[in-house]
Amino acid sequence: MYEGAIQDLIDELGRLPGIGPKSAQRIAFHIIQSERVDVTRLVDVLRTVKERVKFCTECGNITEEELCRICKDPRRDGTLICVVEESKDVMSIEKTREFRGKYHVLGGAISPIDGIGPEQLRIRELMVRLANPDIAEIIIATDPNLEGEATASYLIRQIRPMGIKVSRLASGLPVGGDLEYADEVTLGRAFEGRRTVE
Amino acid sequence: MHLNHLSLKNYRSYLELELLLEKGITIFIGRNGEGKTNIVESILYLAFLSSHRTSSDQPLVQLGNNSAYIRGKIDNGEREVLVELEINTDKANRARINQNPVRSQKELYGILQAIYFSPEDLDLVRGDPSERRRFIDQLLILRSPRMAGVIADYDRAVRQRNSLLKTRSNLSSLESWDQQVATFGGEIIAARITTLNELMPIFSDVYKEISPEKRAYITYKSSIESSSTTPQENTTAILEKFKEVRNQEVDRGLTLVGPHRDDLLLMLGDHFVKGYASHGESWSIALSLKLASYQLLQDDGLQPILILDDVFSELDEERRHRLISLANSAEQTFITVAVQSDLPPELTGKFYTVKSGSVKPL
Repeated sequence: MYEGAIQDLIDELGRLPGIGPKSAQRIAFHIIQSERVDVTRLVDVLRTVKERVKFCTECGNITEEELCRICKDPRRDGTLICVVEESKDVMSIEKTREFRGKYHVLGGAISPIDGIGPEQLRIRELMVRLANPDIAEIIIATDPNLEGEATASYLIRQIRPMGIKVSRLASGLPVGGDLEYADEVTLGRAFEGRRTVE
Repeated sequence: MHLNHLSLKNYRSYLELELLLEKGITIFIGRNGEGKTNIVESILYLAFLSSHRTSSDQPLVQLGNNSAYIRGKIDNGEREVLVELEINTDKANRARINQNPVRSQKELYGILQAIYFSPEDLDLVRGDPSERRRFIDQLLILRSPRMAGVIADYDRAVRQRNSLLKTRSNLSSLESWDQQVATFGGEIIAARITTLNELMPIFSDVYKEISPEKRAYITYKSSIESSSTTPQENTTAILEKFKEVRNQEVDRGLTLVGPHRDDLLLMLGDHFVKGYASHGESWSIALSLKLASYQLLQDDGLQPILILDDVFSELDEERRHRLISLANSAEQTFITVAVQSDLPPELTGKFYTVKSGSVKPL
């Protein structure tokens, strides 16, 4: 145990995701040895990010204004909504440039172990958006793991009675991969989700 | 298959151990507590990613260290595979296959197959249902490594569902978890029954040879009424049963239906083995289960490594001979024994003595 301020810093750093006690200690000593201007700059960006960045009132994506860049863009197709778990998933899909609709960020997935139920996610806000009769299709893009699947099946149950088309992202073989190296679960999924060739 | 090379670091009593191994029979002789079981335990860890002696990884790592290492070079008849496992007390274990890091240690399943006999096998007969579930699930994983993922997903889905039931508040998302538990659960029950149907005739035959007086057999006792070999039917049955027991489940905050509540009922004549069979009969049943599972894997075309951990002192002459003839038929066998006189004199192989963490050829 170190004394006073340095231990406080190590403790705070250690609370960040992916940073264990050893890394926290290393970063703390790096900060101590850094120039004052560098540290001030880091402090400033941390403060600014917390002050300026908020969540889009429409979709829940991160933004510095009321509405995010995508929700504001008139060229985006407002009849399609892609539902994702986190803002970083929006970035991943945006990079593909395949999707021209809008998003809805849930802020996580249903996981009772972590105390996260539908009420803790932005599902009520999604339902409000779906009341708009122009909405034609919902694409559910939650993670293909246990919690993501549970969230998807919950959403499907809620949305289907509303008569809106619901689709789920395909899961299966990675592009550029070899069939022989795919693990059984992925290959099994790919079989399950196979398509008829027209 | 066989193991060519085993190396341990910070594992239990071994600071460092390098063993060059061969096909055939290898015997480790050492008094209790000298570390002979630790060697075979590490081989079993590579096969099952858990120890047959402890449910926690903590005791496997030498005191004062955070990690233990097991490395094994496996010859599966076609090529050599080097598997390396880092067992960590403070974070997830890490694994490498042929020097390449893998995403999860689960990818090691299926590379090394082993069947072990140990004094703890008696718990298969006398212990809780969890012992018998572990036995059948290990067999499923050996036959089809994919099942390890299904079982892990199932366990996690049940934990999630239990957490939700315990909150007793908003159960609106319960159906989503019902579906997942029922889907994975249905698949596990179907796989267990399929394997059991194949194991049963072998088991009955093996038992008959050891002890011809009574007929031994196994039935699958399920928490659903009509369990079958079709996953979809089991899934439907689990979902039906969920509706029935909903109130009980909410009261107790527990999932009461699914393969984690099932059991294998071992029968001898018209009686349940548990509480009825004598000590000798219990041993015969346990032994027959293991012998039958070895034969089942052989019928599948596999050549699992055979491990006989400290079992000879427990068995009479006739049963010892059965194990020895099995050992002679296996591609590779590891035997641990406290004193050489417990071994049948006709046993041949490579002998090692194990004393206070060092292993020397005899």
